Amino acid sequence: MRILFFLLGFSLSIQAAAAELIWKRSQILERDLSRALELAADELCLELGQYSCLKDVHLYALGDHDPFARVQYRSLPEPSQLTAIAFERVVLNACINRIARDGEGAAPTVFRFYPLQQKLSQLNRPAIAQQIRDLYQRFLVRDPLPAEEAALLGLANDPALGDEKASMFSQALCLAVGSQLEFLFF
Amino acid sequence: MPSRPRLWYLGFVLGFANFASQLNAIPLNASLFCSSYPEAPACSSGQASCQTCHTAPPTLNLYGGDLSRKLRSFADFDKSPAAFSRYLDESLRAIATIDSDGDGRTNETELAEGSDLSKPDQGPMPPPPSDQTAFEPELAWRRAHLLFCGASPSYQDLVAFRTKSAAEQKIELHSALDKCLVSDFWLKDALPRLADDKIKPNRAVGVDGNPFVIGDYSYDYRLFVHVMSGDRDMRDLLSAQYHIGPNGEKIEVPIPDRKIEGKITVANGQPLEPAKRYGMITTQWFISTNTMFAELPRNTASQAYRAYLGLDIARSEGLFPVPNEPRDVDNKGVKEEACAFCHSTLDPLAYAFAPYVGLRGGRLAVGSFDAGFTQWENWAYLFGEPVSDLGAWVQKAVQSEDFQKNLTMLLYSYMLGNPPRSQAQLAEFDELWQSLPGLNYNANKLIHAMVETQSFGGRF
Repeated sequence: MRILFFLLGFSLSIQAAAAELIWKRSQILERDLSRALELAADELCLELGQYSCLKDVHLYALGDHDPFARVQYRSLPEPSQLTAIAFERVVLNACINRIARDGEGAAPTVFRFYPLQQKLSQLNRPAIAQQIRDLYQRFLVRDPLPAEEAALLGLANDPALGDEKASMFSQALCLAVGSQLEFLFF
Repeated sequence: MPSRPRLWYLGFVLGFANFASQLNAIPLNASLFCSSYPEAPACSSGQASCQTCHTAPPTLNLYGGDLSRKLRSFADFDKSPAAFSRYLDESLRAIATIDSDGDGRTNETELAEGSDLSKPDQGPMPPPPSDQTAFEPELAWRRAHLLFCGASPSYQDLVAFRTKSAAEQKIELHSALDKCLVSDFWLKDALPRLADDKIKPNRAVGVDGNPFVIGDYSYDYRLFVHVMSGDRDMRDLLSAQYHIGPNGEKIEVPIPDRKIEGKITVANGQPLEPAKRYGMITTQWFISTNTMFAELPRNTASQAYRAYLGLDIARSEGLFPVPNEPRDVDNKGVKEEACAFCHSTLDPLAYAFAPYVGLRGGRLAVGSFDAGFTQWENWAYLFGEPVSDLGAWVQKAVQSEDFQKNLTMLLYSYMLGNPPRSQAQLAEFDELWQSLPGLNYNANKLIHAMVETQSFGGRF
């Protein structure tokens, strides 16, 4: 949690440099998340295993509207409290789905710098650092600042994670990078 | 019975009109207010919004209540425009030093801050974005990718972009934008969503409706996307005499309705003869869903006014009372004093739409033209000036500043997420809409101009 707040602070300070922040609404968020994690739109997040989080269930909270079935003609003018919750849920689901695929296949796509089945204690730091840099480049289209990279490397030593499998650590890593406000506002 | 989703609005308009006597001279007041407070952020456009004094017209907010009480303290104040002209400034000054919303700051202070003086305990609004920004091609380039291609550029593309000179980056920005403006994301996903509030589709009674089909709004969406893309002229939104078929082909003949087995098909073609077509505001869906069963299609006119000129009569916008109106041609009681003020604009606005056939049955298809239906056509007005028919209405509309501002605002709000919020942004916005004639009213050229603004690509 401390690390998330730390990254949030960084994220906000970086974004404050733009004269205006633009909300990455559902349609664009879906495509950008697909691009970042190399998943098809329908592989990102499904509620109850069948309802699209981005096109259906959380569409309005994430800033778009459904004019046809729900007769919504306008979107929220600005994010609501539900936006943050829906955003994090969508990113977490997409991360879980990507990690599951990378753990199954012989040629992982995103989480490819260390074996996902290994224990956290077995991972070497350069490999984790490579994964962190890759996730920053994928989600935020930039390299992490040294302090950001150090904070995430510290996550690997967080006692709360214990000696989980690398896949569990990767979930935390993916969420920590992908759910930064910098990914939601541009 | 088919769903009647628009009738609530008619009810609202008529209900709202009951309070109209309290709204006398509101457009005038919005300007007079800014004569008293020309420097206030609320007057950045030269005219204060209704919400300065109202929660939703005609209901007054706390500040408006104080102002109303002061105005009514003058013995000869009769709510006439002349009375407002005579007493408004004096009344505004009289309530300047009181604290209408009880949050500890005077009305005058809150007006200067741009704070909401109608709600207690609201702090000053955050300062508007600084004007001290420098244009950054990289920011504009990344944003253009997201907004018009639907996704960020890759990290590798960004690294390559950074190796270019400033001049090359600017060229790359426009080159990337050109590619994005023909992408599936823009043409099939994002751009149609900008038309939702204009077309107001409803699947329950659209072409896939069951059992009733009262129109096929896919024609509306295709026309909107066609006009707002490529090298087209945005004035065609109101003046196009063609439709766009499912394969992108231009159709310049009537398209008859066709029966759908097992459904009650009221309308699903475009039966109107091309000479009587006026873009988005005479499609069969637009007439069907807005006019419905009305003799005088007030909803149709007010939706055209709101969607394409940005003027919402329900918010007391665009009121141009016409002498001797309303005539109450359909016996709805709108001559009553309480209704007459708004309807003296709305009814003359609607006469030009009356010959377009709504859901009234008979031998003529919905959305077709019935010259003999009424005698009202020649009574039509727009912006307080007479127009001979809907064609003249449209010609006047597309030449107006309101049309230019409305379309520019549509794209500006999509790209920035909100209307202009500072004097600097407002100045850029004004420059953009004023440039439309020089850009041949082309949406893509306008977007190319917008990505070069400080509002879009400015960084502190």
